[in-house]
Amino acid sequence: MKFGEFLKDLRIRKGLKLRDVEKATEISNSYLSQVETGKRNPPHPDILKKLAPVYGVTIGELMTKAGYLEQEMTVQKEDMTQEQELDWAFNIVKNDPLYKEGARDIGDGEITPDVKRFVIQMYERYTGRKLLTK
Amino acid sequence: MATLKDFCIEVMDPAEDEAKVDPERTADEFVRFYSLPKIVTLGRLQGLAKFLGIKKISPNKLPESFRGYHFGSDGNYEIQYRQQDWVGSAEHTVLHEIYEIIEDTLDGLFVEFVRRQGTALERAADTFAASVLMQTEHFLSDVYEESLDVLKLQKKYGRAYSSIILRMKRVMNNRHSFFAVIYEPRIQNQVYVNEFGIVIDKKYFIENFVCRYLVKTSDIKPNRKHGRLLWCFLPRKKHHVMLDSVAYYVLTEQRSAFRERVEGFDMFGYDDLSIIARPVAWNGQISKVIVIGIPQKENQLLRGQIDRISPLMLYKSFQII
Repeated sequence: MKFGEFLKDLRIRKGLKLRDVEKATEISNSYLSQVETGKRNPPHPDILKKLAPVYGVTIGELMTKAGYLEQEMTVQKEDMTQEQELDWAFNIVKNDPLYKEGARDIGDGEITPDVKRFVIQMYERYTGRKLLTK
Repeated sequence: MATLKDFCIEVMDPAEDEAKVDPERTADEFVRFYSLPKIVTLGRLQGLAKFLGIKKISPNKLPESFRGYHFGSDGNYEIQYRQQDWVGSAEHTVLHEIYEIIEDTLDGLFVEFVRRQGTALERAADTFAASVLMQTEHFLSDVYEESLDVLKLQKKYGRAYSSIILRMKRVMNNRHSFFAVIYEPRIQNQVYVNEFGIVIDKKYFIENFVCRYLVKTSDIKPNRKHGRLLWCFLPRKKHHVMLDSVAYYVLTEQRSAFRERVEGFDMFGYDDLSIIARPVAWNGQISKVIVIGIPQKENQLLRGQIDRISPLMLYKSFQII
């Protein structure tokens, strides 16, 4: 589930409207709506801090879902296939809100393994983190 | 010099709608804000980079589907372009990536701003790049000065022919009716002429040229009184050069051609079009045919070009463009 959908789900389960959340957190309802529909990236951690108590979850949970913290892996990294590791690493890159990237694409927008590997390698070079072992 | 954040605040400031920015207006502002010259080079963009928070612009071996790539975070970006691209393409790519960084920066600065996604972002970034590289005021004045000569404009601006005709359509829109077509060979580097320059297989030679690019203002369409049948005489993408069209004569006669009057293609009553077609040679062979059409009543716009190149004059008033 994408972060926006997760946030919307939490809000609906708490029986809150966007305006209620705006009142409690002073975060604009139009901004929240865009986050929920995926038009905006996950909010900054400072905003998540304000949202967590209203939604009744921990800040850690929101940070994980927003991609600030790595998710607990269902498969141990060393047991992953090359393809699984590529997807896992690509997901981390795409969900890092402090890292932005984009391409002038001439293809049909398909994300091939080559594209994923390239994007991850650029991320590794930029952040100094090592994600791929295979 | 002001940073990219300063620019973003400036560009957003007068806008009533903070949800988006117009890429063409953003380009005009960008040129003004950073005092860019009429011809923007890669070197100039590299010099500007540090003020934009871009630490490096460089060629790289990119995945096949990428022409350019940017990555990083606020004030610390890097832009890469495809190492095998020619300089004109690299300049376009760098500006394309700069626009995406501008949208990222606006997204971080203004809560109401909605960053474009997918093809909408690609299109906006391409419009921005073309508008910086062919700045409306200068470009329009050069279009008139060169009497719509695409080959001259290509040399002057160092852009692809397809970019030139797209930009011509954009700047001429609402001023003149206009259409342009580029034919290119389906199969490259075929030998059609013998050592005396005579075309060996005429039919195969003509039909190998297909319409790759077609741009036109919305008012170029068959006049109602002539019926919709005339649509079939307008060039269509992926279709080959038609028999007796102006491009046909360019290919068979191996020189430019001009047809002063083609009837029935303007909905606003001018009724007729004037068509000029030019060959582009590469390694002694025709590699492209560029066709430009404007209303016949405005064909004085082409006068300078016609005087300069003395094209083959096609007087017969056939419908085929």
